[in-house]
Amino acid sequence: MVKRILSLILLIASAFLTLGAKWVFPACSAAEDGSFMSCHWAGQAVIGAGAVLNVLSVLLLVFRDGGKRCGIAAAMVPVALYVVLLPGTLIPLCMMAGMQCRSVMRPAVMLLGILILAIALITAFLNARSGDNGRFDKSASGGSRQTV
Amino acid sequence: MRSPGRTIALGCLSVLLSFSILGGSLAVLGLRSGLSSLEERLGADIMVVPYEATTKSSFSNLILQGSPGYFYMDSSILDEVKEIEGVGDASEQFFLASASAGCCSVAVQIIGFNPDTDFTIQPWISGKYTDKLGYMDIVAGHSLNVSVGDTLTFYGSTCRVSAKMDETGTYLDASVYGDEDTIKTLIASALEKQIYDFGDVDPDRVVSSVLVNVADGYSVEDVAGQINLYCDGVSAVQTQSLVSEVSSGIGSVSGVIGALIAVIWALALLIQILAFVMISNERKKEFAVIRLLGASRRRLAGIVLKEGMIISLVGAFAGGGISALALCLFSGWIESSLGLPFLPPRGGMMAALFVCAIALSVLTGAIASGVSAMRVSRADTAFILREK
Repeated sequence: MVKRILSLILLIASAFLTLGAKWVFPACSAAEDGSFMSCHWAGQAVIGAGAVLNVLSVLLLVFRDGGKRCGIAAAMVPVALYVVLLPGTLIPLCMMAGMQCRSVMRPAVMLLGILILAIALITAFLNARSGDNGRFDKSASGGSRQTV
Repeated sequence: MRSPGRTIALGCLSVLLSFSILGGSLAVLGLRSGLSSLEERLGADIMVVPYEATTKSSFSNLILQGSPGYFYMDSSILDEVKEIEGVGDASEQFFLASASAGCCSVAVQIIGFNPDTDFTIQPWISGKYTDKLGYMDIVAGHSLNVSVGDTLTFYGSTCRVSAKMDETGTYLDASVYGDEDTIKTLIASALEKQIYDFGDVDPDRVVSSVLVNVADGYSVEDVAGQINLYCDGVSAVQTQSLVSEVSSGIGSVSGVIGALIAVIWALALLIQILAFVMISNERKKEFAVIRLLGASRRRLAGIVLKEGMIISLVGAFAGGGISALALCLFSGWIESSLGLPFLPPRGGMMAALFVCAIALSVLTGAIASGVSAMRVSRADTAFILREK
């Protein structure tokens, strides 16, 4: 049950990251001449990476096998790290600290990214334990099986 | 019987408690540090500005939030102010606001000062930059995403960043500083591009403000009154009044935060006590079996207490960590939302607050589980086992 709850939290966080980067904490709007600043593209990259995390979170809920879930959760870790590094480190943002991209978008993306990274690590660890021992979580599999 | 849901629920209470204690403390200390920083950086007793400037909210926004702004008066005001009895030091400043357009790298407040008479900016800069500021050399505030050696363009004129300042939590973070000659060149460039209208004032003879330090033996209020009386078209603002306004704002916010923390702590304690008592009630047969196996009452109470403290410790770390991370990441947004100077604690002070918040959360969990441990240790084992 704990693993299910963690998977659900990952899905919610990933969805919030993707939708939030578009509507809740977007980057700065276009300049007066209609051109976009680099922070806009950082926001677009976050949306793309968030979509990947969404897909992985759904797969985490769908698969019952502990080993597969461990692999999927482990795959989410570098993607989450990439999301944390995107705004400001990999793609530069606006110069002023008061601009929307630096005061709102970057902190929100970093916070969500770190949260997803931490929970993905915990999920990978928990599923690795059940995968290695050949024991299966009753609630995850919908029934109990034992391998000898 | 293991119940992960129960453990998570108790842990969440601890998360909430440490989050609110640390977050609230950091917010209050950040506001107070910002206020001290503002007081220190304002530097002068009186700020003489054009009268029209003080009628607009943009003036306080400029000082408190660093929103770019500009206003001008004729430089003859400097001589008039110096003649007022009680004026000790007087130095002029020039404000210019760049724009977020093709002409400029970034929209910032540009502040120029007279290096021969200045007594507010140079002492602050000298901690990081000891050379004399050259022509078209600028010092950048902490909020600007630039490094030493970078160039910034304002109205087609290129300036070189000579130093970058430490964070102050005030309007100074969102500004760049240059000497009088640099600013006059930028003003001329802005005029050439017809971006600003200086009205009746000769652009070659403008100042934005005159900072005044009152001489010993004179009262700030009296000198400000004299300036308002004898100098036309200006307003002498006592910087202490600006600080007092901010201070009372901070006082109210601190009071509310403190009250909220106290309420959350009391509620968390009460809920944890109730939760632990209910849990121990549910597990009384389990505890009775542990007693039967040879555990003493004291040992049983110790088990219950340790369980409670471990759950509280894990929750406290998680809550404190999230709080510290959120406050550090969102400090810029907090400052602009509150409209008050904000300088969150860093390093050792942050670590000390983190430890205190965790200790308080763990103590709360210990008190709550201690109540339950006492009840458990006093229960009659035989009576419990005979119950259906």
